[in-house]
Amino acid sequence: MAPCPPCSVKPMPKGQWERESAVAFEEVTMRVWVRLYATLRAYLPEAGSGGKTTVELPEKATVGDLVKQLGLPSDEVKVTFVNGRARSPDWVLQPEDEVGVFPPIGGG
Amino acid sequence: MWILRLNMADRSYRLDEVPAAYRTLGGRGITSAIVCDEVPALCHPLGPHNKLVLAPGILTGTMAPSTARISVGGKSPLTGGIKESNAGSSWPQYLASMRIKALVVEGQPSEKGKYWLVRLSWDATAKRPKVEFMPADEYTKQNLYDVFPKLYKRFGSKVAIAGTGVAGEFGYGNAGIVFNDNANRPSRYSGRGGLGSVMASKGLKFIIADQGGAPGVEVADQALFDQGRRKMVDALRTHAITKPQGGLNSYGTAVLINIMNEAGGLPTRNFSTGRFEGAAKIAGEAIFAGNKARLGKDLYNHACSPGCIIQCSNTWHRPDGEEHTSCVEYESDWALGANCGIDSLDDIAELVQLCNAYGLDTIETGTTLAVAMEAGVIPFGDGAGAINLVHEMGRGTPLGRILGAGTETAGRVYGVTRVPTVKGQSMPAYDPRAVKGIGITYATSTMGADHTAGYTIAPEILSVGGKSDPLSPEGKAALSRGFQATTAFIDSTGHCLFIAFAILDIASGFEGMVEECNGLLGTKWTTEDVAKLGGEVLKKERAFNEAAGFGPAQDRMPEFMKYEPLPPHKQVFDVPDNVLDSVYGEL
Repeated sequence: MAPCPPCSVKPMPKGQWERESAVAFEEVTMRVWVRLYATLRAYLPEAGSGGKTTVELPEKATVGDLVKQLGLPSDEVKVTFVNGRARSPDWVLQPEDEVGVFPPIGGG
Repeated sequence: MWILRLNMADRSYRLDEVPAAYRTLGGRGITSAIVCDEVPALCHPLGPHNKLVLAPGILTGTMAPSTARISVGGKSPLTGGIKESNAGSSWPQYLASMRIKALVVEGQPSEKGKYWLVRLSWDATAKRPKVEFMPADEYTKQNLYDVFPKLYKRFGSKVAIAGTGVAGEFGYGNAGIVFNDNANRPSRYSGRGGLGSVMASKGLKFIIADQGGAPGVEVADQALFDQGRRKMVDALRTHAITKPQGGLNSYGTAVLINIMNEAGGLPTRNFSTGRFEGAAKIAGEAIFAGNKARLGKDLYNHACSPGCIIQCSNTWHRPDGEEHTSCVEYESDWALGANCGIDSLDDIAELVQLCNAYGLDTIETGTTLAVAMEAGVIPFGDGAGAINLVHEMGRGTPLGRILGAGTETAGRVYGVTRVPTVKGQSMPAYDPRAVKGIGITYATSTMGADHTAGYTIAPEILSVGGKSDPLSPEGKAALSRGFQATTAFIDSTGHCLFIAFAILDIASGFEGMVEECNGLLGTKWTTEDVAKLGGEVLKKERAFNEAAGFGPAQDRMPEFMKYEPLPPHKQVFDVPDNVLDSVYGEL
């Protein structure tokens, strides 16, 4: 599995949000919250189990842009949720969106 | 091949040649046919006229991958309708190897509270199965983890065991039939619908199967069978969900906890919200990470039964590395975890272990505990309290018996309005307000609320077999109908339903399933016949339920789901009644 590329990804410890956001908003146009699941967790090891990480993205960035920026192989990304709804790669993200990315999984 | 009939009234048996009408049936196809043809629909499920039917699938006992499924049927003490519940174990392979197409348990002993076991073995001289009845009173009123080793010591470590626990002895609506797993644990269950109580009502405690010397399964066209088998193996080894170290093999079925939580459809604290704040702590990823921390190595999952190449069964280990339980399935993890507000895997593992020990269905147990929590018997999130309540069920105390009767009965006793049941059977781990198609399956299935009956979650949540918006009811009646019919066929083949993930996406795998069956039976089915053949099974089951008094009113959601919006999507179950009625109306 490829290591996480040097993208603008910062793990966000609980309670740090207010202070960090003030800095980040001067430099970037948009920030979203990201969780990677199952085998994809290896691409954001610093987030820990079920951990949430912030990602900085250009304004009007899409789900596909986010996947690319995180260095996730597109064939390993099966379903991406944005605020609890499954969205396609061309879905345009909004600031503060909550994104969850899953590889192919099944069960019952 | 034979149909073996055990008459528990006088402990006699009969071996009948399989009638022509049943020749191409197997698994659910034959258990439902025999129940429909022979059980009076209005009989008492625990009385002398109900029958318990156990059947391997069409392909069970062959080299076709992931086909060691046993189908168990009868009239359900939980729903009052027909029931088919299946499990994976070596037990049905041994029956198939002895050329027993179905085993029918009939009658009832006049001696109340007395139990027998039956030993099945192969009589090489007579070239037919041998049947021996033996007293089994010494194995009653006990934890199955204590009883199984005694049975293996007595009958040999290579036998396979079917049985019922104390839950069945007490006659609970929530009592499963237990089968051994590959490590001889009492952990694979035909859990749903109370069939363990039907078995116990007949004075039958265990059926021990010893296949030594048995001839094995006859194949009509070996070349065609092998061609189909290779296609199926390729599909299962290729698909990302079913392949080695894929989603199921790495994280088990509990890998679904996080995705259902993201989708806002993970029923939490008795179906009061669709997200659980503790989801990440109980998810399949947490099981994998927890085992790694406690064992110091990656632990991949194992097969529940011989010949399975998906291998999704897990174990959970205590802090000192000792095994605590197997298996923490998604449904068990959710029912005893999120749905009870419990976020400790150690507590969930203990609850799973106790359900296996007493012979309880983990789904019905978790949903019943949650209704008891709603009633204030114990608070939500109280793991120790939940463990105590399951012990009450295992001891048969008055409170334990109320809970053992099932979720609907417990809700009625405690005056709870939020009771998530259809036809008396509790809902599994997908809230139908957030996933409309599975709600249609819950409402209309012949089984009561049952996700496996028509798993529309595949396209609605997992993007397998297409994509479908879970919050929209549009087109979902046809989707559910198609899944219910195809599932009834898969349940007849003996394949584990999880092959569906692969063959929904890989057409050659679907062809392979049909070719395996044609090769075995000498039939000439096409892939187009699958839904039609499955539909025939559904029609029989539906006819039984109608004769048992079920009508459109039983194909409805509990009322609270129509007026209580489910966070976070604030959805109610808004599928109109005429759409629900069209599922079987247009079958």
